[in-house]
Amino acid sequence: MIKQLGFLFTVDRCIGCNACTIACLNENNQSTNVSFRRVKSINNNHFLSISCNHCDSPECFRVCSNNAFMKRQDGIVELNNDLCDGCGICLSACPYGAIQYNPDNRKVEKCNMCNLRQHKGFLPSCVQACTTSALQLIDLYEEPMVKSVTKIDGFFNPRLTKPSIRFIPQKPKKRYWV
Amino acid sequence: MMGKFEQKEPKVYRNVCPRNCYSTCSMLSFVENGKLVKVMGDRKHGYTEGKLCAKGYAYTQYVYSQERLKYPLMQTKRGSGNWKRISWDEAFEVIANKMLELNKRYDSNLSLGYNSFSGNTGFLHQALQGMFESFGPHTQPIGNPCLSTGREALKYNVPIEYNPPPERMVHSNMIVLWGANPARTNIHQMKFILRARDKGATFVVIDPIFTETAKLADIYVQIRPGMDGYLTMGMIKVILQNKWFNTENLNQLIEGGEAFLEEINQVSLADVTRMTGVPEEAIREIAYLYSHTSPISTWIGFGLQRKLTSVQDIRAIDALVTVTENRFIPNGGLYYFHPESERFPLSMSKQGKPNQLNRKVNINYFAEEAMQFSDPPVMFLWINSRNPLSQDQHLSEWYRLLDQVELVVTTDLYMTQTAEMADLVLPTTTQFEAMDLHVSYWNHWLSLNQKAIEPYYEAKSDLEIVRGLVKVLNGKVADFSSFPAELEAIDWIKQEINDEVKVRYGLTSWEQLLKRPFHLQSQFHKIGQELEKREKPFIFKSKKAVQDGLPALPICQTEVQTNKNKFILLTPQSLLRIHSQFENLSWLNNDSKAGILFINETSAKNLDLKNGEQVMIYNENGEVYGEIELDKTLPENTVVINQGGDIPINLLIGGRKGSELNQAEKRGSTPFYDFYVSLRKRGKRQ
Repeated sequence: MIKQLGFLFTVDRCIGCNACTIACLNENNQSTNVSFRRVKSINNNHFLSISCNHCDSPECFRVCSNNAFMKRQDGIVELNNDLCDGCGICLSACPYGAIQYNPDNRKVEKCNMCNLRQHKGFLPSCVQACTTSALQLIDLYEEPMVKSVTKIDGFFNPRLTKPSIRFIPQKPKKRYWV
Repeated sequence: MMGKFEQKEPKVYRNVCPRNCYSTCSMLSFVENGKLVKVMGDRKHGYTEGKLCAKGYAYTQYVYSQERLKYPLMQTKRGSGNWKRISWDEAFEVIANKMLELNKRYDSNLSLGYNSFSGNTGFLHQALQGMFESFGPHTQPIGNPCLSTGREALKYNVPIEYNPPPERMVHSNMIVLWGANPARTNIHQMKFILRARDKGATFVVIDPIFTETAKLADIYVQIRPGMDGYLTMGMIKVILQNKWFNTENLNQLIEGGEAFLEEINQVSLADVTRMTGVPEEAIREIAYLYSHTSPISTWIGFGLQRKLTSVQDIRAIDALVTVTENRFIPNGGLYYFHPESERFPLSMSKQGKPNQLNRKVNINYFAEEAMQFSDPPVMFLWINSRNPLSQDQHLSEWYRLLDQVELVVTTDLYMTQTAEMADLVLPTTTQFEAMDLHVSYWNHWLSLNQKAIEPYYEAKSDLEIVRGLVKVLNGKVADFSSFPAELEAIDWIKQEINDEVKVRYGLTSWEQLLKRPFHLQSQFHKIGQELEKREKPFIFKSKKAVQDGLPALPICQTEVQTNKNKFILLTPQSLLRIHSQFENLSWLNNDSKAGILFINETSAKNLDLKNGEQVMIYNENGEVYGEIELDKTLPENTVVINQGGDIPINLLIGGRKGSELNQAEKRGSTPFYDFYVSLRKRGKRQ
């Protein structure tokens, strides 16, 4: 591969506003109302926004008997819908719940990192929508600008699939409770 | 065979989100074959920097939702759900006939009333108000449900209203948010706050709720609801004890400064801690920071002024900002509200005669006051840009008012709780379907809203509804209305952008707004001149406050109430709604927290309530049900449920009558946070 596109998530910048999840619906015009991206509140302490992590060792790719998933040169895990027969084995295989079943066409769907947008020089719609730059697009093969980690609270152990997401964790803060 | 590959580029239009929200985002809409296919933020809007919120990105669904109202509807037997589609001609006929009949019956138009507010904040949404004005004396709502307590409070201390451009917050060295949760209600502000924090600014949040915003603060100070004034007095006491401010300087600038400090001297920090729940260490720390950091931006959120007593809390916070010399300073200052829309000509709304004697009704006590009229009673009511049966207090009085009214008309996009109780529902347009003009009550941008698509089915804009009705009315009775029905949207917009507005925004013609939003020229110099003119610009001993029934000084006297199984009820905005708007959209309903009652773990345990359990929430006003979600971060005496819902939580909201209030309270906002509730398991009677 020539690069590995991925996400950089800065925990101390995510306000949990869900603009990323709905911008994804706006961009992909999904009929199912289910966004490829989700924002979760973790322990009432911070937020986590995740979609497909375009893993280095994607489980979906491994388990699909129709070879519907492809790992591209830029690191994006792309789903070829024509090859999907809707068996759903990838749904349970993905530890990040990144794949969704569409009952309308009886096939699965997932984030393709807005690769057509990227092809035209635009950012993925979720990254573009993030008002605080909590979510950024990075190339994991490039020297990181900031120190990041591969795991934070609320994120499934990355050892299995090597997800292409890095985190800048929270800094300690002062709290005075009643 | 060209067609398939020759995909036409979508047409792009400039629109503005018209919701009652701080941001008033300029947006770009993409239209293909007359259909809105996508929306985007506008990079030329310096406040949003080309981003929208989740609700903004859901507009394609909002416009084309199957639940949107398509045709005028008439209901036989109000509340029955027995709706019949009618034509606009029929709708206008029904309304005009009733208006004219009532005019004849009472020999005036006083029995005709309306209730309209901020469902759409565009300038052209004042059409209904303008039409009623044109009828001569009628029944008219006045006041502001949302923010007037705080606004009036600040005016006692200093009568100059100035909300700095919020982008400037990025240059502050400290940012303090009192009861504001921009991560939920004003998301675009967060990037300026976080950028300031990245540069080393201290970010402080003071709030009873550990909000999304509080989670990101360097210092979060939890406080019991409604106790902010005490906390402030404690901080000023610390500052006074340590001589962290220049007393001489202050006495020169502040009227009644000495009396105020004398009062502060009496304050005991132990009392402050007992009342507010804030430890002394925190009081000292924030007091130190307030007097040793500059510039500081202080932002008072609207949530802080939702009690009748809040006026003193706001005055006290303003006093703290003033004595630490952070009130009118570059790159800092006090943020509350930018009253820009009032500085426009507002020509559409001014269709009455000068000094016309309308019957004025306080919008916060609308039903109560409207029912008091008997000569003549209110017999016709038009509700527009509002959903009072979800959002107002005193809902039972609202139902009684509707019972007395002979014709209720509602204009809306969706079948709201209020529309369900109308005789006639008129479908109106989204911002994509009609032209408009917008300013924000927070940032300093002016944006034009173009018509991007044709109205959805038979929807009409407020202006088109008024134009249509006025023509019918005047056809029946010549000159019944003097509203200039011949004028189109663009004519009104040109009137709003008069020479004075052009100077204020650096515009040479309105057409420039077709290219980008424009920013208000800096007002900072003018504010400085205003302050210079006054001998003592800050008034801490206020005669006006005394006249209005308040203490002269900006100090707090609220008592804490602690009753077993009585909780203060806080009803903030939902993340993916604005008031009751967007409630019907499936895109925004996946993570719905509607009907969830957040309660402290210990309090729940004391009542033997478990996570996920159904409870009745009740008080003297009524009862509604909800589902318990334990939240260990909430104070023990407080429960939180988001506003709105199928069975609106506001059924429990409503206390003192308008007639029992002093002047200051009457002029204030609706005191939504003045209420206590009790809880019991659902199905279990006491």
